Amino acid sequence: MADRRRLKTIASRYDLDVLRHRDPLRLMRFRLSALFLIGTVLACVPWLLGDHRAFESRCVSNAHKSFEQNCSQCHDQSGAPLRRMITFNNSWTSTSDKKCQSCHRESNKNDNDHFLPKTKDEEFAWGNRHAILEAQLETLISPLKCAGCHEEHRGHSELTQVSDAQCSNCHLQVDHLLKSKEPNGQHRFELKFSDFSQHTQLGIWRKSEALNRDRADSPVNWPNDGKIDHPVDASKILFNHRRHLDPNLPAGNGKTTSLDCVDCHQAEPNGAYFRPINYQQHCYQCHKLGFPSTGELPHADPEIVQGIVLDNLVKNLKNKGDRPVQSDEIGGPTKPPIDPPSRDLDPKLQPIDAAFQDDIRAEFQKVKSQLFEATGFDNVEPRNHVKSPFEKSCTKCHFTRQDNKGSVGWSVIPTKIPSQWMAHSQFRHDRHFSVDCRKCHTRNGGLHEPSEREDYYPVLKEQQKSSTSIYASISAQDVLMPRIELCQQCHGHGSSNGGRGSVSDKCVDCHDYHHTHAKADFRPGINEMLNNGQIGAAELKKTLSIKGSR
Amino acid sequence: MIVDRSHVPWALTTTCLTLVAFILYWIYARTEPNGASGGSWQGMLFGVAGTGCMVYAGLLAWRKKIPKWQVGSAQTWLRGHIWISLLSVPLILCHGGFRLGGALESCLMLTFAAVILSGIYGLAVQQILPRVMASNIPAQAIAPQLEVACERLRRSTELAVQKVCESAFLEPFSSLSRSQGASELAVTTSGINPSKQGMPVKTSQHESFSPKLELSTFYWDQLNSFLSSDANRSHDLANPTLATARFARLRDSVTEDLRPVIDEMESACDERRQLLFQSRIHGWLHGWLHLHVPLCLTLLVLGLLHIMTAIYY
Repeated sequence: MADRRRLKTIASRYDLDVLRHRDPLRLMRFRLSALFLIGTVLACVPWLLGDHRAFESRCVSNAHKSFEQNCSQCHDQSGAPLRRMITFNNSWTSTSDKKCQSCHRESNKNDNDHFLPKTKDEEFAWGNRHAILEAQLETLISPLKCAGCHEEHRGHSELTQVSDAQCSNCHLQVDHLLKSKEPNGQHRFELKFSDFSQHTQLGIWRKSEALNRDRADSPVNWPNDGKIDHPVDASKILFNHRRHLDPNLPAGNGKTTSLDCVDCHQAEPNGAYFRPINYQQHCYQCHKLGFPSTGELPHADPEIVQGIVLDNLVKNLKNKGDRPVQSDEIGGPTKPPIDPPSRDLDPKLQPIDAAFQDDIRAEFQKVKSQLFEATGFDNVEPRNHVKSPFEKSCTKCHFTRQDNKGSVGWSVIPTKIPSQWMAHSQFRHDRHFSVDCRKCHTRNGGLHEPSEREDYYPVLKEQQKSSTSIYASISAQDVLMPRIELCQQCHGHGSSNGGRGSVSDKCVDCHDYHHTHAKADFRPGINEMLNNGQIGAAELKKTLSIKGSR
Repeated sequence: MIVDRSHVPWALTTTCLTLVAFILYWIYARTEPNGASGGSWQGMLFGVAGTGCMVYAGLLAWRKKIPKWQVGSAQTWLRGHIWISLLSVPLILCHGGFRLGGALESCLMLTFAAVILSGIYGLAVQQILPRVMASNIPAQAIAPQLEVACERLRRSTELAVQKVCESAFLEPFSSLSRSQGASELAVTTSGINPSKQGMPVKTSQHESFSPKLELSTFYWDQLNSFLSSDANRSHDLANPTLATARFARLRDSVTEDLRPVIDEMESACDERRQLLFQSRIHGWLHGWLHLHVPLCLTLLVLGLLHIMTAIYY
């Protein structure tokens, strides 16, 4: 409808005093603002006076939840965020290393230094170069703080799950540093990778000049004859896995038995690794030492064995015939054998028959030869009899050498069976028990070849050389450890392993930055923190004793 | 504020700065071993920048209160308020790592989101509603004086009706009391309850029909209540179709000399509807400020608390 009002008419309707009155909308807005302001301040008071968990960006890890409400338990560097911003340096942490070490003894500076050698052979191998590198690496490692890698308030349930970038960023720098110190630019570590799919081959499978130079006591050797292109086990022992895994293994008295991996390889209580092979526990039942003329012999040093041999020979031959036996008061298994005393030495002793002595000597030499010199074992095909004299010989399992030292003149070369093949990693067999031993422990690093037959034994003769199965291993020189490709089948992102698996592939899953001690000392910080010291120190120490991470 | 071409440079600058912020954040997030964090120096720089934007936006209110601070024109300040506030969104998101965070930080983010969204709503309605008002409310009044305008409109209409009706102007009050007594008879005869109609029923007891009485009765029963300042949309005359019909019927039931005043009454009724509509639109245009401003204060308090605790810890 048309507006027919006149301006004057319209204007006459308004109150010129309206400016004296407050706009109701503005008034309402003011009151609401005041209400919100006061309400917010009042709502913040409980946060300030009470639980400060409202201020944390994310909850703490599970291990720290017991004192989560007390921020000062860890935060002792006030203003660190401001320093970070001003200096553009994120190494300023809100928690000092000292605070962490009040409970955790691991450190970056003490005897747990990351780059120190873990084994004695490495100390020997590194020698002077270690001291040179230490100063260089100090510049890289010393700025690191506990909280730099183990960052709280990230929502991680465990702080030990350090991101791979923490490791790879530093290793990439170290890679250049180490290479610059080597004459040919080669060093034992391969550090230039940032993803598990790019992880370098395991050390025992890498034929690296630097690696071989440094590994004086390596569990493997790389032969230079050019005939084989894989390492050989340097354990200095003779063992035939194929023979021992025979489902019809002779067990004496016409009986057979069947052995499995766990019959000899028994896990440690923590399930990580396996107990060392022990003759008395794992071998004695089938491999008793001794000869008919000597009786049972102990699995001991050659000197001890020789003494027992001599003593037993005397006793056994004495019982054989009417030859008078002279007691030998100074003989015995614990003392070096001596020639039968002559009448000139001790007139009290009855003279020993010379013929008897010759018999003893002859038998002794025969036994000694059988013990230390016997060869000719046929390790290709299983023997159907166990009556060969060579069965009881030391050389059945050990390497011997004639060194003309001591009273025996022979020595057994010590075995070098490592309790842990890969010293720079940590592995837990108990977490892999769902996988059959044979799938990982293949012959000379080959991948497991699935067979239609569940039981892959026995391996056909024509497949002997090519088979990767442990059943095809007839020599202890076979390296029965897996290669990195086997691990990458399960560990890694789906894309890196063709979608076969997606088990965690973090560096910390296999590698430990802090070389944790087997025994951990009592940590006084915990006593102060918990129960205000009501728990006795001795009781707490007993409760919190740590046996090692492995 | 109307968003026109003068805002284009601001929009482009804000967009470019947003892209730069996201690129920097992406580089930072990829290179940081533990991922992006608000506590790192990079994260804190984002936070400082975002806070600076919010502080600038808040200074707009203080500029109005202190006229002496004539730093830049009001238009520039308003444009800056809009675009720099919007720039604070990506900066704060980069600071927080695109996460809500803990309790305090979640409250902050939610409050910040409410402030931004209410501001966007306010900006959006400012583009549409003024044009609606201009086209649909030619008789719009000054918003704070809507009540005054309504009262004066009612008063002027009352005077016009009184002038025409003369003695019959107040007669509906007395006839209404009589019609209440006859309501029982009316129900019996016609089935119509006069009190519900609001109009005196022409019963056989009325000896004569007066157009002036009709007019005054219509005014008192319907128009007076509609022209008052507390009328709302539920009133019958608020519906233009119904109002047109009522006025048409009234116009047919009175003499020719009374029709000009009926036109005036209808005009007043139309103006009152426009004022009613204006009141609604005014509520939409300014109501969001009741949420926006208080939440800004809440954001300020929580932000200060966050900064203090973050620096301390």
